[in-house]
Amino acid sequence: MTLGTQPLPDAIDEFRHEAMFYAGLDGFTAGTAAFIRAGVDAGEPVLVVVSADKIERLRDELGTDAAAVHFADMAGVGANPARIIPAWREFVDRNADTPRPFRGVGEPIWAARTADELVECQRHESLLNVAFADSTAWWLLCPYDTTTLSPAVLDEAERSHPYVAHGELRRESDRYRGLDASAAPFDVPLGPPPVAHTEHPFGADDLSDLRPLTLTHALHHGLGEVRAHDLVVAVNEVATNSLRYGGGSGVLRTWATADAVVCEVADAGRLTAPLADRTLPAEDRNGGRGLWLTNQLCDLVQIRTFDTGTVVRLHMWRG
Amino acid sequence: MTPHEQRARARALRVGDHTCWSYSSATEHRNVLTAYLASGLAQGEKVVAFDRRGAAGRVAAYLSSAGYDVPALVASGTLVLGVAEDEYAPDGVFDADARIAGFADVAAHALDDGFTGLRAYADTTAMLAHVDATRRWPAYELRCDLLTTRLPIAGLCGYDATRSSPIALDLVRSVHRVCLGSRGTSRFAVHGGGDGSLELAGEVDAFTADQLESLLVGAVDDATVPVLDVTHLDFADVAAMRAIAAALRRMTTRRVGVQLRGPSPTFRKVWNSLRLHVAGVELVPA
Repeated sequence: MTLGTQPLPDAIDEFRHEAMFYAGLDGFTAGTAAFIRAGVDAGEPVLVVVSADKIERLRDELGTDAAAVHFADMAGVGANPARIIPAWREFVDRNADTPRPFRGVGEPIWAARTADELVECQRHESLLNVAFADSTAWWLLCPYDTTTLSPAVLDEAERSHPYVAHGELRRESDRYRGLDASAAPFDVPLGPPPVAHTEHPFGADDLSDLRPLTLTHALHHGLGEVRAHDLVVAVNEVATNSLRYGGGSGVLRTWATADAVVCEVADAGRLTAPLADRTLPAEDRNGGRGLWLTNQLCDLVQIRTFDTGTVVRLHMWRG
Repeated sequence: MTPHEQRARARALRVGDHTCWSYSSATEHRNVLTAYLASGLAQGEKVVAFDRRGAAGRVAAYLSSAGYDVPALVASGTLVLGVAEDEYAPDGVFDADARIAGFADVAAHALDDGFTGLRAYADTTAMLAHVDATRRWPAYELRCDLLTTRLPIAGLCGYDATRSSPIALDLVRSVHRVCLGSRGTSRFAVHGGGDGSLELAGEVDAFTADQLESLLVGAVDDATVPVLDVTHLDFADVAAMRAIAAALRRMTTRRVGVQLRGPSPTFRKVWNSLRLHVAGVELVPA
């Protein structure tokens, strides 16, 4: 990894998405506090979305400056990583009329993320470039802990961020994959369902049959009544998309792991809108809300589009 | 259902019951209708019967066979006989407002004249396919359902199952509180509640949401209280929620204190996630 030494820019005129590599909590605090203070000193709105313990550490470090900063717990905002972009969108929209740029700190990736969550977080990092490509100017710093994250994760951070920083040393990432590749259909393979899964092919007349079937599956594997019904709504929305846009039929696969109740819908359609599951359409627009809703209802949603079709895998954590 | 059971159920219908009856034979028609009308006469109700065109004299014959002096009943104003097509679409024009106002007026006068209520029968098979009525008919039926929650009316809507589209029949069944014969395959029902609210029950998804929106938007103004009750709504998808929101928006244009009553936790979560909040509408528990 080669580092350039660019001075901290005084102003930005577009969305700047930057990975910040740090070592341990002290490195996190030093790097992010300097970034946040610069924003506070410039009178910029600042939103920090990190873990609760890091929020506490930052409050201590920032002292009275912390009062000018909005904090949110990433464990809540980003439990499902696909909910993070909408949260940033709200922040951007709220400050759209601010006469100066604004900034944020968001740490969606930490060592305890599961393998499935990690992939979705990495997808989220790439999609941030797409979501805010035409946005008003703002600066998002994404901390990565080099002491706990694997080299592969740090390598992917360089691909998903146009800019990287080590402390105050900032540079463009020469490995950034670019906007087009960030927006391309996501086709990282999903692991196969376990042998002990159940398949339910469905067509136009079968939608209502999927609902009791999903409910029974969810309740049988320990989901509470409300979360089981949440999953029913999510499966119904994805299956409706299969019937309407995915060739008119699909397959529902259901199984459970030690951690999750899982439902997967596969069909022959291709999902080409990269932000379809993270954007709530305008009120007067018909359609386009089903995938958004799955992310609001489910703990993790994995969407993959291949040449042969689309797979949407919905996870609800057990217990 | 045996003929005996059919007659028993027809006799048991009371004011406040808005009943969909899909009949499939002349014998069934005679059995049910005779029992229904005779029950009303026995209870001191004014009886109005609009049979389909081409069946002139059928209802009178039923009552005569049952021992009633039909000319005397007509002369006293106790019994009114007519032709459904002429009553519902005079000159080929269906005016839902006028028809509902007509029933309300007859019911009010019946009470003034000392009757205990109004018992109405209409064979409305033709209206399901009527060029001027077909699209508005289900919402009209829902408005009739609401009418029977606020006036002492028993309404029996007869549909000849052998002449009706099963899909159209399913939809009209879903807006009657009571069904004689098959309930059909409709997955949702919407009708007047005991307190004059609108009650929505069952399951609504993207393939029935348009029907629901048309029904609700067409009938919300007739609810006695500005309440849409979803306590018994078992499932609603995004499209259904948007249909409900559209109906509530309509309700708020004419009413204050509009309530969406009894949403489930999942309903609330979806509603909030879709940001369907309608100004002037309060979500309240059942």
